[in-house]
Amino acid sequence: MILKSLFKKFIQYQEQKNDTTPTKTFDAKKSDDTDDLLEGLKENINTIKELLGASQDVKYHNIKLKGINAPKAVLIFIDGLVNEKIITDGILAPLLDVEFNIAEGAKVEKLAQKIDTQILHMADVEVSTKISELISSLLSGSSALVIDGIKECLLISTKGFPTRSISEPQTEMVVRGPREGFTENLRTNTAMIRRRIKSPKLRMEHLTIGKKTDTVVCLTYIKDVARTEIVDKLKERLKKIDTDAINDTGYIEEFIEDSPFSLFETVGYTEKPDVAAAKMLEGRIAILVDGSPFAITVPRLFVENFQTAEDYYTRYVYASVTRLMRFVAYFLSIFTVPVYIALTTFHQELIPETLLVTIANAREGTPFPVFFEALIMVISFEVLKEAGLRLPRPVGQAISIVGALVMGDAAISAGLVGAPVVIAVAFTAVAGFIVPAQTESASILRIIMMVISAILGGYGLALGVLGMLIHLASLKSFGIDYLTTVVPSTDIKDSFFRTPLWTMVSRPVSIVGKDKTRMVPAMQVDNDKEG
Amino acid sequence: MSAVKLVLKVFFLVSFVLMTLLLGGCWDNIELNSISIVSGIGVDAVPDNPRKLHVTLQSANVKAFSTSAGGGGGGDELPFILNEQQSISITDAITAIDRRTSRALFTHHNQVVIFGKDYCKNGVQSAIDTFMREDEMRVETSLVVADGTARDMLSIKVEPEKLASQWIPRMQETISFNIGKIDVSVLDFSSSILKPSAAAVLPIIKVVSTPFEENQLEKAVKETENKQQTTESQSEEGQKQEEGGEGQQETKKDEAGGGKKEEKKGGGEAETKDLCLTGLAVFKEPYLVGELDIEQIRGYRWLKGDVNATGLELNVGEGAANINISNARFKKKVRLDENNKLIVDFTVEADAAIQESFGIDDSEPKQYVEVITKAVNEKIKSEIESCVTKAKELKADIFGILNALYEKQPTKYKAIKENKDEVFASFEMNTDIKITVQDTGKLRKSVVEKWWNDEH
Repeated sequence: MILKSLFKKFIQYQEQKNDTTPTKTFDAKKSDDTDDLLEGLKENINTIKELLGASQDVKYHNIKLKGINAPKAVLIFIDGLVNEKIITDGILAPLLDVEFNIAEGAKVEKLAQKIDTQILHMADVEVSTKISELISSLLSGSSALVIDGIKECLLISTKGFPTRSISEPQTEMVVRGPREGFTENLRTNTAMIRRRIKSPKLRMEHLTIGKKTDTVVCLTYIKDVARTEIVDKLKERLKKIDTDAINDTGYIEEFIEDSPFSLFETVGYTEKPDVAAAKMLEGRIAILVDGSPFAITVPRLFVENFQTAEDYYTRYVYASVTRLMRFVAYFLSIFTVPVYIALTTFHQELIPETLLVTIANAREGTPFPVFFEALIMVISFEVLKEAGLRLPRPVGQAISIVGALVMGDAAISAGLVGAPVVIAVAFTAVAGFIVPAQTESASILRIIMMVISAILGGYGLALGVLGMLIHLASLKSFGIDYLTTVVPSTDIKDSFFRTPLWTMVSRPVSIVGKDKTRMVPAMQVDNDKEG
Repeated sequence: MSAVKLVLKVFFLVSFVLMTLLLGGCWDNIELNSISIVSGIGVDAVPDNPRKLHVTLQSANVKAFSTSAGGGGGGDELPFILNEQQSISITDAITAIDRRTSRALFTHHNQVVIFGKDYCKNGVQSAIDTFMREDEMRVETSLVVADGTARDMLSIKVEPEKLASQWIPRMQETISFNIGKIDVSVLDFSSSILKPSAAAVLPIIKVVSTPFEENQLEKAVKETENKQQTTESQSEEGQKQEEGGEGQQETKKDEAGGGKKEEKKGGGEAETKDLCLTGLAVFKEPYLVGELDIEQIRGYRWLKGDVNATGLELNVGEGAANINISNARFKKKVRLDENNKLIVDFTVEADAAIQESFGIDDSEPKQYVEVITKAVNEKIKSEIESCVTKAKELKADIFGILNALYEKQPTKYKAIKENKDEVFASFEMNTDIKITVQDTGKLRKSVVEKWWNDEH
């Protein structure tokens, strides 16, 4: 069963790569005759009640409008999703103030429009004739005014549910730079992006995905800066998603990524609006999902793992040095332990004699082969990391004490593991966190490389590195090669080093659409002329 | 993508992975705690049986190398394990030793090969052949000759290196200033004896007991003191000599103290001793034929053109001076005259700086410099001549003069090839030494001068 679905996914992935199959048209709601509102209030309410079931939070507020022959109406809303003050002040107060004088037997025409345009003190009102539309806007926080005698209803936006306030993101801390982070509320998030990019070319396209959750997914990009093919490809992939629930951007990510079987993710994520905006200004597309404080960005390149927001806010020299250090640390975090294993079990002649004797002294009397020693340490580190991650903070301290004392010190004094392995694993662990986006891939790659180097030594390690490079080079993210900008190209200005901002005249040419230049060349201050 | 293509792809991938894994043939991993790291190999003659060798392997006892305070069992143990075997060849001996050790002998990291003096007299060809041919040991390994037996040298405890086999290469690196680096590897040695000159030198190292006794080995002591003086005067640059003297005494005390401490600990059976460079062993072909003493070593190095910077001690009349030679440049021309007489024109140009000077009149700078220059020239010349005389006596062309002739004029070399020893023994040296005194030190007027005459 699992195999079958895996195979299916693999075939689908291959198709996605080749882009040969025509796409299904996205059609969430099918039009239906029974979907229309009827004239009778009772029938309509009954249909709605039937659809929503006996939910106690759905409120039906009966209204008797003033005036001769005035119709009855029901205001439906879901308690908790709406702001009741808005309903009282903006809907009920004006509605009950006006007299509706309707002649006996006269047809009530254009009443909905009249209420919308002349009576309600509300900005976002829609007139609809469909029950499905009524239900879905009801469920997303609108109030519905259903009036007796007409086939239309008013859908009034009265959203007012509790949201988390904007706070500093926990995943991407900065010393210098904006501290606001996305929240779970889509509108707040789009507003934050709008506030940063005031260009009229900023596009926010909405889609609803999820048969049960009806989650709003917002595609954000800057027209002309983002490449049209990539936007189309993304839309196509989003439309293909056929699932019942989207709980977070992570769901979307898994459905749209190019290489579902790779250790390296080809979709990026960020919690910071400034990062999302910067990525969009480079030609990327951000996807926001209602209920998720993370934006995902595509296309994702390998080099983005090593770029942080702060690189662009601090001076370029320091930023360049730290970026280079991140590259080095990432590879060290994968290869330190495997290289140690390969050297000490296969190539002792490559270790200087004094060091070899020191290592041999530490290894003396330890019961396990060095590979198992390293594996024990690596796995126990992963366990500790995972344990520390999910625990409440006060308990977390206990974990770190147990980790430091038991795993580190006691294991060595008991003679179970040698000190050099602990040093290598500890260094690896710390180095791994320097590139947070790749911590997961690094920890798995590390174990793979360890196994290879334990079996085949330096030869195996060379094969492993080769395999890893081949894999990386074969990856693509929305048609863009994953290793672009790491290999020499015009975009290398912002990869191993971060050159001054005034040298980055053009946007990354590998991603960007029609609007290629950022600035007039040579924007830097000319001291000679000014002074 | 069709299913067939996919299956093919998977097939090739799997077969590729399997092939790289299986055809590499790289399965022989050894854990560090199952090897015995051989650090030094000693080869001695067996007194009664000239066909046999006495092979000593010194392996590091890794337990004794514990650095942690509570490591347990570190201090008392001997830092090395000795394995000995008498056999007809070195490889044979190693195989025999391997049979009675729990750990695999790991000879990649062999630091030094020590030949006993008696063994060298019989010829070292079989050992050299082994070390050149065997693929585990490196041809860059240092070779030394033990004044005594190699076994005795490997069985002493030394400080601070712990192993004599680590002490020797390190000493050869750091001794450089006064005597120069005399580091002869297996490769150097074998190529030297195979070239037309067919002669080579190896450092001779002797075990001396700690604390150092003045009368035990006069020359060695003198040399050590000179070395200390120069290094100290170098670091303190013209500071008063008395301080230097005190410092020297202190180091001696320290050495003695360290030795005693070691004895108190006394768990190991071996005593802490010192090793000392006492001269150069001269090999003609693979046979030990004679020795150069410490004084002659530098003469040898002048002629080889190896000296770039060195210190010289001069005696000028009543007084003495210490000179730093730097920036030395050499020219050596070898030719045969009509009578097949070998003539070597040798030129040395160098800069000299005066480090210490007392008892020499320096009131007239020009004269003073002249006196010093002359003394330096004479000193270098005498060093060279002393060495050349010895080499001629031994008929061993350790300077590579015949090599030079062979490289420049191969036809002429062929003419004298048959009696090259005689030609070498009667070669003529034209030495031309040009020393320029560049620096007379910081002093305008000698501090010692005023009191010197009172003392003497």
